[in-house]
Amino acid sequence: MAAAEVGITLFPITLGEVDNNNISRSVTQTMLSDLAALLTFNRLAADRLFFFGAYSPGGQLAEHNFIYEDVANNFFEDAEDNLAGYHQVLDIIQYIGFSGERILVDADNAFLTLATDNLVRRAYQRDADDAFGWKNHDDRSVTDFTNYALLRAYNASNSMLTDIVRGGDFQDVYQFFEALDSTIDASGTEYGRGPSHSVIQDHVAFKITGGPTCPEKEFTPFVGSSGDTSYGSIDESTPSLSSNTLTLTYPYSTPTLTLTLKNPEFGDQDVLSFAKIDRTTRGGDRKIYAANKWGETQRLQLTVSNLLACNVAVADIVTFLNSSLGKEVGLRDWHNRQWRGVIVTPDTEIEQEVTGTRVTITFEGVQV
Amino acid sequence: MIYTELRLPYPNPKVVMILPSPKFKDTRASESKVTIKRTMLGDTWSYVDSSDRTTLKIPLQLTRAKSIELERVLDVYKAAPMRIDLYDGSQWKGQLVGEPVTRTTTGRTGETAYSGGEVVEVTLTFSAIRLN
Repeated sequence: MAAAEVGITLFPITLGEVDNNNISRSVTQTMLSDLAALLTFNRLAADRLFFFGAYSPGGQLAEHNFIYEDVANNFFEDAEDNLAGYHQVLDIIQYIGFSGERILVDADNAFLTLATDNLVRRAYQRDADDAFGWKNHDDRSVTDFTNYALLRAYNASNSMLTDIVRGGDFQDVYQFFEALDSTIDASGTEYGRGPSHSVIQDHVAFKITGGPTCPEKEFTPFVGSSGDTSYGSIDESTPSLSSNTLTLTYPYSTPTLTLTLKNPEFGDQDVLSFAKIDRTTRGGDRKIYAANKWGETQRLQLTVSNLLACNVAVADIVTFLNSSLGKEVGLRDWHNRQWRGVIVTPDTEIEQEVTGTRVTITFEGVQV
Repeated sequence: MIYTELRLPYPNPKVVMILPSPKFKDTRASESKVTIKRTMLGDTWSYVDSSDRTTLKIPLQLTRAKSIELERVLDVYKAAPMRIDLYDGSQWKGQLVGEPVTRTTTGRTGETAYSGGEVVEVTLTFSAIRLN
């Protein structure tokens, strides 16, 4: 398996369906929460994600601070505190690659300092209109933010946004304006003018796509040889994961009963158990041994609810469980992987809820 | 070091697996034990079962695809001694204990071949001896 090429990319995050005509602050908070979740997604990513809030009355970024933890709350509160006349910028830049890893922002300059970096230099040289899609800033067609990272800016001028997004090789940039304009005119009649400010909240979503310099991250398994005569070989193939709906069939071969469920709720478990011998010697050494041919079990625990929507009644589940009691069934999971095994909890409670049926199925088997 | 590295088997690794740094609340616990006995006269005796081993619990948040990679590696090297390099530069020689290995899906991420579209949490437990 070829290692992924080093390049700039963003971890894609799923923000779900967003109606651009109805972008609200709550949606934005959700997005930020997603980003915060992304930060904790793994620290490897966190080390390469840079959030900085900056405010500057003069339009130049004067100060920024890195927020690694709780970015959703901290930044949002910080932004609200400084709405009056201050600019707030939240930026997400990630630089991927084990080799040549460099930080895209430094402590003093809010934005990029890697002018010598080819990627960045090329982005500098691109025409902003074409490169960053300003011509399409009224585009209302994007409703699915899947694979889009979010960049959010408060009252950011176009030039500032250009600064922000020039960190990568962007194919599409979509900008959405939310009408947060507010004007305060305190005493216009007496002095003929009054303090005023306006705030525009911008949303920018951009997508970084593959290319010679910015490939998307690929499945890159372990480094090294998969062959070891003492231990056996490791499957190096890219896992085939696609979409499917959780389906149970019985019998496994030539099924006559099919139970098409919804995909399980989060919190589903995949439990791997190995047969091993684990002993501590009199001298205190710990000896662990396992042979390749010794069995291992894999158990899936899946909770499915709200089955009213897919017309699965309690009786259907009971019929399936009773018919397949102790016998081999087929399970095609939500990643379209086929399993064969046994449902080990036929006595599972099937709950009747307002929204339909809810059931937890524990399945032990092997992936085919 | 900003990631966790498993080199296995130890001491002549054939495979190196890169994992993210653990989430907070990773733990290290000595495997030494103390038994306290009180005599009839009130004296206290302590019996020590000393051990240079440490139990490492490493909670990880992975993508679905990465968790599959981990599963494949553990499937083959489930009992192999390995070198474990952690985020703080510490190096350990240890073996996987604390089964079963439970992977829990906790959320969604972008749908790519690399991610598999899901966030998976798993805690690996090692019994290990520090090397450095």
